[in-house]
Amino acid sequence: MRFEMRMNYMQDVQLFKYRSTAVWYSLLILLILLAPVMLETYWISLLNMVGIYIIASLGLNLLSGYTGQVSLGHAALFGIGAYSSAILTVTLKLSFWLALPMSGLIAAIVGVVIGLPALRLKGLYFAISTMGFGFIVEEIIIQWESLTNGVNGFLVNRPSIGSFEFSTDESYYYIVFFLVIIVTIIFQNILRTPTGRAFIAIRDSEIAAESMGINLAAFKTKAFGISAFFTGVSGALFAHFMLFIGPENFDLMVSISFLVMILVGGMGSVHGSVFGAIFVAVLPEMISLSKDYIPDIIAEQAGLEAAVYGLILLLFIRFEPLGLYGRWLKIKFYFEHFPYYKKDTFKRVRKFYRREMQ
Amino acid sequence: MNNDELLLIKNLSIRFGGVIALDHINLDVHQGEVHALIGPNGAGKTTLLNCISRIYNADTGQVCLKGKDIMGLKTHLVVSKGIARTFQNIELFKDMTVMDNILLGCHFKRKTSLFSDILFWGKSRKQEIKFRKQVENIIDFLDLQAYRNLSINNVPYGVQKNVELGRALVMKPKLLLLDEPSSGLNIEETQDLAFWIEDIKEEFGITILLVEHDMRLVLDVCDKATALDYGRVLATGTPKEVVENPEVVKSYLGEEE
Repeated sequence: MRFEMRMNYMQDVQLFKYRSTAVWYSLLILLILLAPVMLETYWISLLNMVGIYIIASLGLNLLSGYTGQVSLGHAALFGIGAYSSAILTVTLKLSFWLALPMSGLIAAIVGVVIGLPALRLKGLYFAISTMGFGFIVEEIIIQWESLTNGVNGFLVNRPSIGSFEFSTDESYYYIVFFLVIIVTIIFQNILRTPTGRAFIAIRDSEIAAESMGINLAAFKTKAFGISAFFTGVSGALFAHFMLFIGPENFDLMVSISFLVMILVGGMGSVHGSVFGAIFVAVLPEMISLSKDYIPDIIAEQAGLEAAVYGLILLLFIRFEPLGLYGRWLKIKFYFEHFPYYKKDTFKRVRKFYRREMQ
Repeated sequence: MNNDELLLIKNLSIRFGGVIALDHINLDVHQGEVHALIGPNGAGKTTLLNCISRIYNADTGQVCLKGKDIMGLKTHLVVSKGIARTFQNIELFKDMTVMDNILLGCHFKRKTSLFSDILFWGKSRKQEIKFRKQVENIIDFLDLQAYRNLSINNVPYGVQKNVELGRALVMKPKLLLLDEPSSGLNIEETQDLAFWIEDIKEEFGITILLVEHDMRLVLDVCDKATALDYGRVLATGTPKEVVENPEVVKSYLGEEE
């Protein structure tokens, strides 16, 4: 068991609690930087997708995990980011480095515009309204053929600096992970300042948050806007990675896969978003690998992926509501306190004196 | 209107459908006083506090803080006028630590924008440290050091009540509204609360309006009291006078058959 000695206030606020944590994370960053040298292209492509999903799931976690407004329409923001970047670079011939923040900004603006009416709704009704938003955006992508090429899809190029083009997955990998690290630091910064605490306050008790001087409408919209910005940026990265995007990449199943990312990974935690992103990126590969071992009747079913998502969601919500990160914390706790294992430490105590208010 | 009248409530009424929750309430609280609101359950005490802190919109009447009417104020702007409150059934942020909960009390004083928060450079850092110093003073005052980094879920009920009090105190309010601060506390904790209320009055100079059922605490700590029943004021005066008023006794104990 480690004890924390606090000597100054900065220690409360800094990113790493112990010096050893900083060492481990530096090692991780070193491994990330060396990955293209050590692994084959197949794994690097997978890692690219993981990186893109990490940024998207951080965005969704900010809105749904930290602020408590669960959204079923984030694939729409993902798609808006992707198509904005595609149109800006191909049709308007802007440089990728300009188009990337601009597509984040466009997604953020759309997010704020949608958020202003939608955030007046609470809980389930907000989720339904975001789902509707998702359907509308998908339909707009299909119908606005002059802008988006409709169902034929849109061809995109890889970015380039001067004469060097990031045409290999290995080189693109560095752009993706550079952005992952920046986005993670921004995220942590938001969370250790009053803005982030206000978001969590809104999730836990809206009445108390209002009594603390938090303007609910303004902060919910801020959360939606920031979340949309991150998701839009990840969409732009996705477009330039896949080199081809179509409306089928941004449908309801994609929104649900984003939700699975944060539910399975751990709602309301940065580690959770990362674990969830890895899980969802790796899952289709695991499914296709295991198809050899399951009888044909199950393997050839059309909705196999959706069914697997549903089953996994059910299992996690029932047995591990804190997600993969929660399980990781419990394992760490077990080893830290060995052999005094306090089995019910993480058990959620139900206190009945508090009445539930809608 | 006297110069040291902090809160003046004139003719306040609110009804929920057919139920008249508050019926032309008149109340005044002077600067630096500890004023108790007593009455049986359902009398409208919490409703009155909600009208003052603008969680409910009253139908008629005026609530004047230092002479200025706050009836049209939005809920989240009440704090900037200097009103802080605690809740009857604790409204703490259950998934955050005690420290974070009290830090949220400092929220309305923030001077940094989202942009400087994202970069977390000089101004944001200094503000964080300033907030933490203020919170540490309150933690010291309320003896919450042992619970500082525990999640609210894991903290005993009495401590949760104190954290709510701390969260309201760190806002440095002019008027503190306490809703049943001693419900669920044993005798020792209630005595601690009584000492704290006196300290708050003397050291911080905060005016307190508290809703209470514990008559010993009221007689011990409060300067004035007002009794409510069925949304109407029955009596107002010193606690001893109000408690001995026959109407008030009737509302609590019933009438002799």
